[in-house]
Parts: sequence; C-alpha cells; structure tokens
Amino acid sequence: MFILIVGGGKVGQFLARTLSLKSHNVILIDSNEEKAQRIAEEIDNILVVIGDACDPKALENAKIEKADILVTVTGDDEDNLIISQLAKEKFKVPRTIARVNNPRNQITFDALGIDAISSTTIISKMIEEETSMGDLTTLLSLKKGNLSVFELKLASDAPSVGKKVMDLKLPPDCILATIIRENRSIFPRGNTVFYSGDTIIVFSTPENEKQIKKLFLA
Amino acid sequence: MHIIIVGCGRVGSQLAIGLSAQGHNVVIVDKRPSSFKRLGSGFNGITIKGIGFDPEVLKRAGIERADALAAVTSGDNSNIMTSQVAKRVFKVPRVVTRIYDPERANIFKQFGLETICTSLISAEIFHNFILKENKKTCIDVGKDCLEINYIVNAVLANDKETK
Repeated sequence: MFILIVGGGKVGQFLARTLSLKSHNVILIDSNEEKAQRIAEEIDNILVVIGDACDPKALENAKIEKADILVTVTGDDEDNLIISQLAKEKFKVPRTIARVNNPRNQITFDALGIDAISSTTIISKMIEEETSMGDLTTLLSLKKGNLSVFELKLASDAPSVGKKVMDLKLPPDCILATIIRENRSIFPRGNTVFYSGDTIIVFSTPENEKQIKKLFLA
Repeated sequence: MHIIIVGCGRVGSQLAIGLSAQGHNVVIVDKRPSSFKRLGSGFNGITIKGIGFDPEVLKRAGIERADALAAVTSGDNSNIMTSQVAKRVFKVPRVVTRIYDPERANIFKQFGLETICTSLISAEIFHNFILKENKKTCIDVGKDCLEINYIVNAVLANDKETK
C-alpha cells in the first residue's frame, strides 16, 4: 500500500520504519529541512519530502493522489485536523488517520468525521484496565457494522462465577467468543464453567452493554 | 450579542474594543495573556487565557450561548479548527474565520466556512492604488459579499510626465 505520513517526530519516524519493513510504499513529509534530511539518511526505502503539508501543493509533491492512507502525526492538533480534511475532501484519499495530542480535541475530530487516535487516552485506558478488576471495557467498536467487542474481568464475587455457559441467559445479538484463563484462550462450550479471574470476550451490538454487565458482573 | 473573539492580535483587539464599545458582550481568548495589553483600559469585556479551539476553553467563554465567534489568531489552521469547533460542535449561528492563505481560504469556504482572506483584500487595494483605476471588486465571505469600491480622486501630476 501507498502510505503518506505527515510529521517526522518520534511517532512518524517509528511508523515510517515499521511500515517500510512491511514493504509498504512510504512517503514522509516534514517541514523542517534538517530533520527531513536526517530521516532520509536514517531510514532506508522511504521517500522524504520537505514541505508544509498544510499547503495543498506540498501534498501534491508528495504524490497524495496515489496515497491509500494518510497518517497525520504532527504535534499540533490543528495541523493534523486540517491536513486530514484536505486529504479526505480535496484529494479523496480513501483513509485518513490523525493523531490527537490533547484528548480534549477528540470530540472535534469525531464531530468532523476524521478518524483520530489519542495515545494519551489509549495509555490511560490501558492503565485503568490494569488497575480495575471486575469491569467491562469496550475493546473495539466497529461503528459502521454496529458491533462492539467487550472485555469483562470476573472478580470472585461476580454472579457468573461457578455457572455454566448454558445456564447464562445471554441477550440476543450477542456471542460469547472466548474465555482467557491463565493466558490461554478457551473456546467455550455449553458446559464450560466460569472461574474467578477469567477474562471474557463478547461480541455484541453496543446496546447490550448494560445487560451483559449485569449478567456477568452484577 | 454574546460574541467570542479568538486571538487578541491587532485585528482581534480592534474588533473587541469596537464591539464592546457598542454594548455587546465580548469575550476574548488568547494563549498569551500579554496580548491583552492591546485592549487598553477602556475594554470592559472578559479576557480568557487559553487555546482557542479547546472545547473546555470555549465553554468557559460561554460558547453554548454565543451568538457569534470570530477566529482571528495568526495561525490559519488554528482559526479553521476553532471555527469548525464553534460551528459543528457548539452550533454557533455566526462564525467567521480569518485565513491568510488564499488557497486554504477557498478550500474551506467550499467546506462551508465563512472565510475572510485578508491577504487577497489587501492585495486588491494595493493593486488599485498603484494602477489608479476606478474599480469595484466583490469578495465573497461565505454567502455574504464584501464590496470594495475604489474611487480615484486625482491622478498625480507626475504620472502623466513619466508616461
């Protein structure tokens, strides 16, 4: 795939290196000439373009019309937003992904229909998950398919502990996919019993969240 | 009207002083508190230090009940983002964006922003002055139109000599 990366900071460089090793066509744009030069020397098999990606001409120089994906990872949220919008609306790039530096800006990206990832939010969520037992988290939500992947951790006092899968009345539009027990995946059958400490992965429509929580966790 | 101005530079401060003197409720936002010095002592609106496109900062500026917002910082992208937050997230009825780059101004006008490209307007005025032409120019600001009517009162005497 042809991937255009905007921003040659730590994230941009790491991304460029990783993606080029997976034999994607990578072009990286950065406005700082010195930095661009250094990246071009350090990372093989990628093309580095010097330019301000907020300028449509710079994007054209970086062959944006060929890009399958554009990733914006500069340190400025306003730049990431505007470049993503240009790519999406003006150059019709099929997929754009923006980095959100300040999590408070996430709602803006969402409101404008730009897919955005906030590393701060992801890291704090992961830490939160590590510290909380007996909780439900949404691992993934596929908006267009209207499907959510939930993860539940069973504490010793959870109502589902000790019960068999077949005794649990799961709501419709919901599938119990896996039980992770001591770092091994168990594919549940009707007579599989839930234990304290189990991690459960459920595929479901997002509306079922409350019911699933009630059923497994109280 | 409750009006929020983002960016307390030369344009922002002038706008704030003018609107406030007319009795409007003005809140002005800038990331550098030292910029507020431009407002002088006569300004009786509210000043807030912060990033203009941060939804939390805008909430403190009362964006939920704002009638209008002007984005006039020195950064085109900040202005575009601020305006889009105001328009799409908080549904402010009247939002205007200053953009220096004519191309970006044109693109985001097509995306539905009301943009004023001051570079184009200044260039137009300079052009008319240098060529001493009577000229009517229309520059559209979103759905509205700004008309510049340049009237030449006197052709300088040495103009003819140099010709």
